[in-house]
Amino acid sequence: MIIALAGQPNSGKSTIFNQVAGYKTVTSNFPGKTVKYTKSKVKMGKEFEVVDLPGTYSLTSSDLAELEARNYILQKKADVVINVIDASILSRSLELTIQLTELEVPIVICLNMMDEAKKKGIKIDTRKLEEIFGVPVVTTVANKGIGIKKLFSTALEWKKKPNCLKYSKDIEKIISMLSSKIKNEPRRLYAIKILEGDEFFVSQTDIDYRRYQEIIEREHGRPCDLVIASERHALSMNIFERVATVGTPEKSFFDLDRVLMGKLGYPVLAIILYTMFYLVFKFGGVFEDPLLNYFNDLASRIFLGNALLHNIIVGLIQGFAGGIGIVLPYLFPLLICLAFLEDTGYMPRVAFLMDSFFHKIGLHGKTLIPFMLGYGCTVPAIMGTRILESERDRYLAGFLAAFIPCSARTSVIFGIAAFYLGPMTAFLLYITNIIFIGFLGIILSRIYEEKTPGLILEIPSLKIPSLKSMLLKTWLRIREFIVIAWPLLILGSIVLSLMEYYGYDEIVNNLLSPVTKLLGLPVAVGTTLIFGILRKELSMLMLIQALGNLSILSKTQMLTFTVFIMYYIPCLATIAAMINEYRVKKTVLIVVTTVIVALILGVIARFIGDAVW
Amino acid sequence: MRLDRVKEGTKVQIISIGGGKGVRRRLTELGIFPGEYGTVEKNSFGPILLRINGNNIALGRGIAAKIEVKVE
Repeated sequence: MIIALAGQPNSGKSTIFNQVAGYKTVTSNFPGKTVKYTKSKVKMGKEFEVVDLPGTYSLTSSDLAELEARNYILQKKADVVINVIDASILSRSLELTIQLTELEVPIVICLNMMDEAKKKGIKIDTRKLEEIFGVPVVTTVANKGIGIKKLFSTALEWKKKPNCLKYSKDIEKIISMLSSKIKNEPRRLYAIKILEGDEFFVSQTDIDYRRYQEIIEREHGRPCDLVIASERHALSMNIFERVATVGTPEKSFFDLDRVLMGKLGYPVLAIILYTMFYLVFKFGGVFEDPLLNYFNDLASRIFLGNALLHNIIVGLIQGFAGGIGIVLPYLFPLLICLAFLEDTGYMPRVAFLMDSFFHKIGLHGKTLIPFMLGYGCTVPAIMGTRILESERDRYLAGFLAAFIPCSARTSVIFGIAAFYLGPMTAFLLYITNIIFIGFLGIILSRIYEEKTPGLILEIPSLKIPSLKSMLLKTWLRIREFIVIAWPLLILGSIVLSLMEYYGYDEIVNNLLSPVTKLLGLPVAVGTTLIFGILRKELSMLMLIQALGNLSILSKTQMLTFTVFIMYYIPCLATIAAMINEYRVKKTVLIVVTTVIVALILGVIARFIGDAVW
Repeated sequence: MRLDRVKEGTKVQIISIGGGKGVRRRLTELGIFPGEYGTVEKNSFGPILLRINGNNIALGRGIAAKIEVKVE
């Protein structure tokens, strides 16, 4: 048995999913974070499968994430659909509910965020709502786990199709005329969507649909899609008035949004970002030195008769040490900070503030969301570009996101630049990076000249994040490092040891010597750059291993190395994600650009370093 | 009057939505329909913030220029 969670963006589907399936998917307070569906087997008396679908405002989808949700529901894979509704915006949410009833599958309505609705002074008569739609209604507060058990036990038992809600008489007449000509099931849904001019449904039949649209357009004097949407809107407003009463909302004594989204929003943003930077630096710095010293000491004390075995063991220790000493101390505070920003709902506010800036680089404010995700990991950033409307915007956003230093690159920036050259250097690296991205954005938007559709973004209410959800999300992301990246680091470390043992590293180093010479780096750095394509942290750990100790590098060399790592080829996982989103040709263009940029900026860093130190 | 020209704090009624079908669809999905009432929460720099049915929606200036409203 399959139960699918469907609903509008940011209604709490992923939160409900995590409550029953264990923390398996990332939740945040901004619309559009789920771009792919996640499923999980759950045992709750009976065994069943629960599917978390991307949020969708309607069944007429306009972005890729919404399309994914719609296709899943249309294929009728789910036995029951739980329609998750943010009860505090019930009237608008009912428009999707009406469309879901047209799918003619069993539905259970979940009125989530009942606490928020109460704050807004909204009272809902659930009995009446059940009666109107002919479906069970369960109230929940998902982030506190309230009502989840009842929701699923209800869904497991429910088999009846919902009531069919009727539009005005003249529209219903056209719908039944049209649906008698349609062979695809459910016919009523097809008829309505064809009248709305939805490209997908229109392409499934060969009916002369314009004829029917024109009848409606003549009578109403407005485009047919707007007429149908308005009908649905009126219907849901009518239902809302019958089931809900709106009293006076609880007054909050201070409107935080006045500060966050006003002129003061910019200094506040700067302070928040600087604090984040400072926390990551302080926290990581405490651990890096003692841990690395400990493991270096350990490695130097190992003496084994067999040189090959000795090399392997030392490689293993160094790989392990790099993970625990350099990566994790910076990764953890960075991910916690990102989780905080995501869960409070601050991200859409930054998107609001930065909209005019993004327009200058040919994109709009919503692009900020994948960009911010990019500071954690580039892969979700690339996938997150799906929330943008046009293909050109998605590609440009992905192109630029490739240059945002992800947490792996952050550990290199902090582990080398901040640690050896001082936090100011690292801070400047971030600032120049942002300037560079802006500059590249201007160039790219000139090449791919097309008007971006403009910002339309819902700003959800601010929430106090739950520590548990922040920690679970951070753990979910760190676990990925521990189970995928760390073993790779250790393996890479051993491979490098073996290469040194057999003398293969020199071949690679010689091949790459034009690059290392251009950058003024020791020739031995060559192999480390290759490893960096697998994972960015790897090249730093390899660097330590290849040179024995980082402090034999000059300050300029450290700067050049960090800059090169920051910009060159995104890691393999990112390349795979890009091919998936933008196809091979466009991905190759990004990869080639990153190499050229890294070389140019690396050389500039070399000259600046020489001049300063 | 175009929505992007409305002063902050003004209550408006949506009269019509211009632009293509795509934009219209996005706006109606968020509850911005002709006939509905909303309040312009912010309109100084950057996007316009429109409050409609207890919901805040940020609209780029280009989008807002396509929405015709009547000031209440």
